Amino acid sequence: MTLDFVRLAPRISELVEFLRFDAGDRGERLNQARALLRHLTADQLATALNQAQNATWLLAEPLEPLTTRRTAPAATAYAALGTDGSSIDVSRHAPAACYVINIGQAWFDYTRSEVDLASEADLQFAGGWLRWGDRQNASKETVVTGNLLDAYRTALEMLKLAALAEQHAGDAPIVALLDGQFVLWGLKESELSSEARELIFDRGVIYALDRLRRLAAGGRLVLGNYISRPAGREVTNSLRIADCPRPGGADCKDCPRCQDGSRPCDEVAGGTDADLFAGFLRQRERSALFGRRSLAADLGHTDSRYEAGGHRLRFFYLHLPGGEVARVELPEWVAASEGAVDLLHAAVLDQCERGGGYPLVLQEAHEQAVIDSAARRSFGLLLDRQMESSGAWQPPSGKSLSKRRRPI
Amino acid sequence: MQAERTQATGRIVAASIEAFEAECFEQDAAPPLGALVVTLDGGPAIYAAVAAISTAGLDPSRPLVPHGSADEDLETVLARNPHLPLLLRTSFNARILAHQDAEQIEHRSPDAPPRLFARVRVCDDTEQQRFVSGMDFLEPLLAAGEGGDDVAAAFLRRAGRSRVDRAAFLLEAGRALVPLLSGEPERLTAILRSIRP
Repeated sequence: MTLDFVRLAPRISELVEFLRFDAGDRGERLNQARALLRHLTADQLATALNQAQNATWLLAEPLEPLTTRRTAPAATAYAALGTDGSSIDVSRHAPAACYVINIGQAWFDYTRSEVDLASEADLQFAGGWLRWGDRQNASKETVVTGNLLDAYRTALEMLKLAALAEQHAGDAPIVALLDGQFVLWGLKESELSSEARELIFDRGVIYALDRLRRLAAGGRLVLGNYISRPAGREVTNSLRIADCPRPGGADCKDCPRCQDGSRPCDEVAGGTDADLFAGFLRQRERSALFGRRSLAADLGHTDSRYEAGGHRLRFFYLHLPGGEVARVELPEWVAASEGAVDLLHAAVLDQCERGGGYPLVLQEAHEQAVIDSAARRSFGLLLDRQMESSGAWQPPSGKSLSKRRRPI
Repeated sequence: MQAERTQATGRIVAASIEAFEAECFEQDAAPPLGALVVTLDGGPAIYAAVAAISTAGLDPSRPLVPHGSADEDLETVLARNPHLPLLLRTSFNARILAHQDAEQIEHRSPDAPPRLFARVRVCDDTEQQRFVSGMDFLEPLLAAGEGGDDVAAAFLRRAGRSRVDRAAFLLEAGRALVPLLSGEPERLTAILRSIRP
C-alpha cells in the first residue's frame, strides 16, 4: 500500500469541515430555488427559456405545472421486467482480442407468481465485430471498446427487453425498467462510423424502442429508466435562466456578474435537481413531468436522434419512502398517457419497497448480469488454457506480466 | 423400483476421500439427516450417510435479509417475493462409509474421492437393508468422532425403520458398538440412549 494516509487524513478532516460549512450556504440557495419553483408560472419560464442565449446547460421544460406534487396512485397488479448488462472489454494485454457481453434478465409476474431469472453471455472476436466500418469513408473505423462497447451493450439490453416484453405480453400490464439514463450519452457523433450508428441506434436502441412502443400502444406495457441518486440539473438550470436579472433575458456571454465575480443565478443553484426536490416533494410523491432541451448543438444531437424516432425524453423526480429522490426517465409515448405514468409511478415505488430502496427487478437483473472479478479471472484462465492446449498460446504483454507477478 | 433407484437428488460440488457435498436439484429437498445415499455415476458407487443439511443464498457474497413484517407468515412472504426460491440453494454433506468393489460393498474409504458433478440418490429400503446386513458399517460411521455421533444415531434409527426386525437390529447394533467405543463410555451411552427402541 503506497497511498500516504498520514498526508491524506488531515485533508479528509478539512473536507468534512468544508462540507459542514458549505451545507448551510447550499441550503439557503436551495430554499431560494424552491421559492422560485413555487411562484414561477409556466409562461414566465417559457419566455425566459425562449429569450435565453449562449447557455450551454441542458434545460428542463415542464409539461405540467411546476408545482405539481402528485401522490402515488394505488398500486395495481402488474408484472415487472428488467434487463441489465456487463462486459469484459477488449484488452491489448490479453492473449487474444475479444470482448464478452453478458445480459441479465429478471421477470416477476406478481399476478401469477411467475418468476424468471437468467443471463445470456456472448463472446465476440472476429474482425468485423471488433472494428465497425463506414460506407462513405473506407478509412473511418470505430473500435468496439470503452464507451462504444458500453453503448452497444446498452443497445443489446434494450433489444433483450423488447424481446422479453413481446414474449411475455399477456393480460397483466408489464412495467419494463432499465437502469441509468434513457438517452445514450458519451458518444461523439463525428467518431461514429455508419456501421456503429446502425448497430447501436438504427438496429439497436431505436429499433427496440419501436417494438416497445407497439406493445405500449396496446396498453400492455410502460417503460422507464430508473436513476438512483441522479446528478441531473436540468430543472435547476432552467431556474437559473428564469432568475437572470439581465434585461431582455439571459445571455451567458453577457452575464451581469456580481461584484465578487459570481453569477446572480448562483443564488438558486444549491445542488442537483434531486436536492431541490428533496425539500419540495413529500415521500411517495412525484414531480411534474419535464422535457429536455439544449441551446448547445453538441449536447442536443443525441436527444434529437431519439426525437426523430418519436422517442423524445421525458422525466420526473420521485421521493422514495427511504428519503432518496430518484429520477425516472420515460419516452414521450409513455408520458402521453396519464394512466401509464401513474402505473410507472406506482410500480417504481412498489419495486423500490420490495428491493429496499432500489427496484427489485433491476437489482436481480444486475445480479444475473454482473461479471465479478473472480469470473473475469476465470475467463482469462480458460482462454489462456485453451490457447495453450491448441498450440496458439501468446505470451502476455510485459506490462500484464509485471502486474501479475509484482516482483520485488 | 428401478425408476426410483435412478431418482437423483443432488449433484456433487465438493469431494474428498472422507466426505462430499452435493447441491440438491430442488430446494428444501435434501435427504434427511442420517439417510444412506449413493453416487449414481462417475465410477464405482460410493455410499455415504447424510451428515449436514443447509439452505442458503446461491451467491455467498449476498447477505440474506429478513422479508415481511412480523404479522406476515412464510406463505405470505413467499407469495409477495416469488423470486426468493430462485436465489437459494439446498445442499447436504455426506460422510463416506463404503464403496462398491465388484459385487461387494467394502466398508472403508474408496481409493479416490467421488467425481465432482456426479449425481447422488437416496438408497431405497432394500439397499439400506443390504448395507446394514453386517455391522461393518459402524466403524466408518463412528470415524468422525464425538461430533458425528448424532449422525451415527440418526443413521441407525433410519436403518432400523427399514427392517421388519427393528428392535432386534438396534439391539445387535448396540452390542456391536460396545467394543468399538469401549474407551469412550460417554459416547457409547449417548448413542445407545438415542437409538433405544
